[in-house]
Amino acid sequence: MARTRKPKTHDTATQHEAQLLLLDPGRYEQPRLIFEDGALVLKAVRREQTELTLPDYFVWHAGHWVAPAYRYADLRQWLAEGGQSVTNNIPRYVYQALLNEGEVRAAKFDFKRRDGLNTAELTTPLTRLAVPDNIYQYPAPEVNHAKVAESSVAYQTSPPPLSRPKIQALRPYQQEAIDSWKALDGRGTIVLPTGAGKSIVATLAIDYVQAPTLIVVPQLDLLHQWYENLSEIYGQDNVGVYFGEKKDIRPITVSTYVSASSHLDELGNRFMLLICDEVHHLTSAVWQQAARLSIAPKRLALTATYPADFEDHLLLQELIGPPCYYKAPADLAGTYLAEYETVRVRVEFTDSEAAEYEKLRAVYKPFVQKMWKLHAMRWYDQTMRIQNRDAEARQALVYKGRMEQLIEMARAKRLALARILALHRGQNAIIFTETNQAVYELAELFMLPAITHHTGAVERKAILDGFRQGEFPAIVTARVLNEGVDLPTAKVAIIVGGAGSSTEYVQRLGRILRRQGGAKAFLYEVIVRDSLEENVSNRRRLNRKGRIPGAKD
Amino acid sequence: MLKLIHVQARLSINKGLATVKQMRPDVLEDYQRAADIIAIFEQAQATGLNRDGLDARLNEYIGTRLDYREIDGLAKVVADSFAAFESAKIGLVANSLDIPKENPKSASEAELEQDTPKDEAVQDEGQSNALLTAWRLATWLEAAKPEFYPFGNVGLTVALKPGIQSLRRAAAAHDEDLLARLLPQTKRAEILRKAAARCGYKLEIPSEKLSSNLLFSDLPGRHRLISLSPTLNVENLLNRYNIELLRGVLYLAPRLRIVVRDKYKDLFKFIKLFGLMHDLKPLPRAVDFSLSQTVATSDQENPTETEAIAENQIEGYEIVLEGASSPFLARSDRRYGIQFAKFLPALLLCEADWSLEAELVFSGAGGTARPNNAAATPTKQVWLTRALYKLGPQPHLRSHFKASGEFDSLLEENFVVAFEQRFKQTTRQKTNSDLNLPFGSEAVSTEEALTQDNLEAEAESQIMTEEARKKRKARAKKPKVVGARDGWVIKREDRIIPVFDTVMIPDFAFEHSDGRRALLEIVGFWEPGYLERKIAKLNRAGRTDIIVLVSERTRCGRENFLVKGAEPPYQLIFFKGTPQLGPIMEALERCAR
Repeated sequence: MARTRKPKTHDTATQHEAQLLLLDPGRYEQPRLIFEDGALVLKAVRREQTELTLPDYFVWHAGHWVAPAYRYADLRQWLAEGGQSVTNNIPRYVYQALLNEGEVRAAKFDFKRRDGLNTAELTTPLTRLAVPDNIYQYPAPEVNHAKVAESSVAYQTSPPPLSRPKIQALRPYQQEAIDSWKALDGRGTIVLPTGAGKSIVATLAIDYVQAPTLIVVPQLDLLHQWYENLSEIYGQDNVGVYFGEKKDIRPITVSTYVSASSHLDELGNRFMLLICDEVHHLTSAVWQQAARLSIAPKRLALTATYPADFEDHLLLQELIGPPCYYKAPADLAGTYLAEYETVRVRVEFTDSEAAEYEKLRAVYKPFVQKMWKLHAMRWYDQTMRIQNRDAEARQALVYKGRMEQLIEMARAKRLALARILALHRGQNAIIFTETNQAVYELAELFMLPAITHHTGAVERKAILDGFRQGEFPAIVTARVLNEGVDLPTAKVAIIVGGAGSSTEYVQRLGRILRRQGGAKAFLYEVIVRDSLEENVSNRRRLNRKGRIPGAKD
Repeated sequence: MLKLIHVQARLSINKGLATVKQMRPDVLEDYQRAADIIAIFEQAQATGLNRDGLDARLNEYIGTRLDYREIDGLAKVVADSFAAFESAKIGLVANSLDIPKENPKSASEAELEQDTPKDEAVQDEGQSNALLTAWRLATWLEAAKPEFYPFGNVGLTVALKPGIQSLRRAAAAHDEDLLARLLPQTKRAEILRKAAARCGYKLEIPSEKLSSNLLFSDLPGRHRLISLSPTLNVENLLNRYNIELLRGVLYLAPRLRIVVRDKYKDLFKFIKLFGLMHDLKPLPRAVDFSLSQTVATSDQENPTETEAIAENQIEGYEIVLEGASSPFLARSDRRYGIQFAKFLPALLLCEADWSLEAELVFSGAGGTARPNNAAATPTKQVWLTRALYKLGPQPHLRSHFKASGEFDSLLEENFVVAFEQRFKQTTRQKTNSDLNLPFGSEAVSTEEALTQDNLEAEAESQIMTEEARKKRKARAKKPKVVGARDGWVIKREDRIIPVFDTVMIPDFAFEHSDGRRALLEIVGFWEPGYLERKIAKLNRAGRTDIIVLVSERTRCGRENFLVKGAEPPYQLIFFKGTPQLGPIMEALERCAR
């Protein structure tokens, strides 16, 4: 390809560029680090270099030494110690919008809180890290105005003022949590139950780092919530959102895992602090790119349910940092969270249902016992694997599906649900099911509002607003409300169907834990007696350490 | 499009070599399956089943059979390609005064609307959905009122002293009558009617038929099967299934190597049409040493001419295509995947003599599995299956597909429409906003969750009911006139320009009525290496009558195109979003010869 050092000038912009090149001929000969396509690239260093001892995370790729972006914190350390001869052109923590006209370098950004919370003692910098990042100007992102204009009701640029009481003081555990995060050099995961004020902890981290911050959340509802909260604390000018409909980068930017994982290859060097909300999602193959492509040397992850899987833990440890603080719902219930009680309600099959169920079980159970003898824990995987050649295995799986359907659709569950709602008349309830089919069945039976992934943005907003204002007594949903959405008025959760995962259980419990006066919260599980569901229910009440605290029968 | 699970059912791997077992109408088993499924669909159409009902019926048929993946795949092919679903009509009628009618339209607007009948249908659907949403919300509000609220029923609480224990006791006993009493049919009808009135609509359905099922009639699962294509029979179904199957298999390949020996222009046309990333290499005819040596030594002053292989010396071409899962599409470019999916049937049905080799990569058991990228991701290893797959022309598939006329018109239409789509309309006022512009508007679209369904809809858009096909043909006729401007006519170029050891084919050719000609090349899809090769090719071709359009999305500037610091011989035009016709016409006048 015909590349040239001194391009023929075409207009003033390129003329200017050419001048720069002429002024500094050595510009391209010096070893320098740049951020390109989500990787840290070391330019102008040969493969057989001798003068530098590169860290082992550098690999030779396509003519350059390349390191993954998330290793930037380590790289910074190395630059300070052994790599002084290398120019660091990686971070671009500065925003066009903040530059005064004619000013090349940016003024330091003012992260002043407006909610009256005194965090003076938090802003003392750590002494251990004193590696400065060079600051460069970066062009403003292109915004497709037409697209933004047509973006619909789903996004409001000016959030309605929230009538939230000003926070006067930090709760002790919030202070502890952020202290332990700081003690780990600003990298770590904080595990706090829903409603415990995780976003306040996040703002403490922002106050501490005082640099451009990216907050990544799993869904749009959460994005709007964070945006509203943060713009109340830091002012709307300082908070931007970056997702499909609106791409607006500000000192504090809120984005989704979907957007972040596909756009951080260009924007990954523009944030110093990365905050991952509901970080248990980060372990999925694509979404983890959000953390991989970012250079952010400071990272904070928040979740109510730290992943139980060891491999997930290793991944988070590598990308974010170790878990540094843990509080279970039961630790905070009563003082900072609503008191809660979990109740299992057992119902019986009707006669016809029971007969059908028995018929299926008579085939299913012996097969499972046989597989268990052969493969123990791995019996289910094995069955899945052979289901397209082994008639018995196929039959067992089909029957299992039918049994599960019988369980979810049990008539007695409907009446039990009505009884629970009658018992809690006047309180707001969320009804959780396993399948969408059950959602619609219940919604039609009792004429209650339903939310699934088919529900449009407008309708969904109308339902949630109506629920918050008490117009709707209950919402039926499968999984979409499991986490994220803030429904402070909900005090009753009823699980009619669900998976045997403790993550889902704790997240569903989290929906009703926000303190609202002194009201006690209730989590009901409606299960069919002596069916497969007994085991499912037992499993979801267990976590890695044993029984979930407070999940008594 | 078929999913991986459907493809795996017919894909077997032996010693690293993949074979695909197509379904054949002369095999009794395959014939029977297809016939059964067609019968189920026909029955469903006769009884007006919706999607959910149809699924239940199919599940019943599948039962515990082992070939569930084949049956599911066949059913999917019928549903996608031979059947039309429509949301059920609910009897909501606007009280004429309450709903403001749209402003009276000017004549031109009315004309425009006539031009785009499809849009109107879409608008209609959107409107009825909004109507349904309003009705639903009103219904729920109505149902929460004390006089209807089902959970205030005395029967629920009488037996229930406050407290969890008594709730548990009560819940253990089921009472179907009590459940039915909570919201009797009369109350339901009243709620629905009141809610409709509240939104300014009246219901046309008699009370006894009113049910709350109507509330969700816009769900995909509630869409009714309204018509089946008259071409649906066992042979056509199996044919279509086989095409989809091969397409699904090739979708698994990150890269395809195609060797084509005759009639390659057809194939090039398709590659260009769908804008795929490709590398061409001519395969010289059986070596004739004496000739090539004399040519090489005789004329050294003009190396371009000598090193290029003359067309009569070329026996065929080797084409390397980036597949849908190409590693270069790092940011999972779905648009490329869609284009690629559209191209595959074209390849399968192309009349050229081609052969194809590809390595299939997918997650799943079988084949030589090994962890992907073990070094890069120490945790969460993904086990991938890799297998070599070879394929040649499929003449037995061709006839049926051709007979339907779907493909010919697709080529013809896309060729003409492509120009209309790609360039902003300067002479007409309105562009059809529903058209998927090949580039320009996609920059912001990453978040709008293109679901698998959307992908399928995209890839499947050409296969529709009879009616839709007619409409499409009607639309296709218009642009032919519009393609001509100031005496210039745009044509798809299929002439091959030799460049040293390789060749290039520009995207379009402009022809003036006075015989002048110019070529147009668009730099669209890219990954860095591909772009470099393309620019190198353009520079080495050294032709002055080429216009090169470069999207600013490619992030390359004018300096990338310079030849030893000097302007390139061809006309270079940069554009943002959608290319404008104006500069192109100017350049045309300058460079055409």
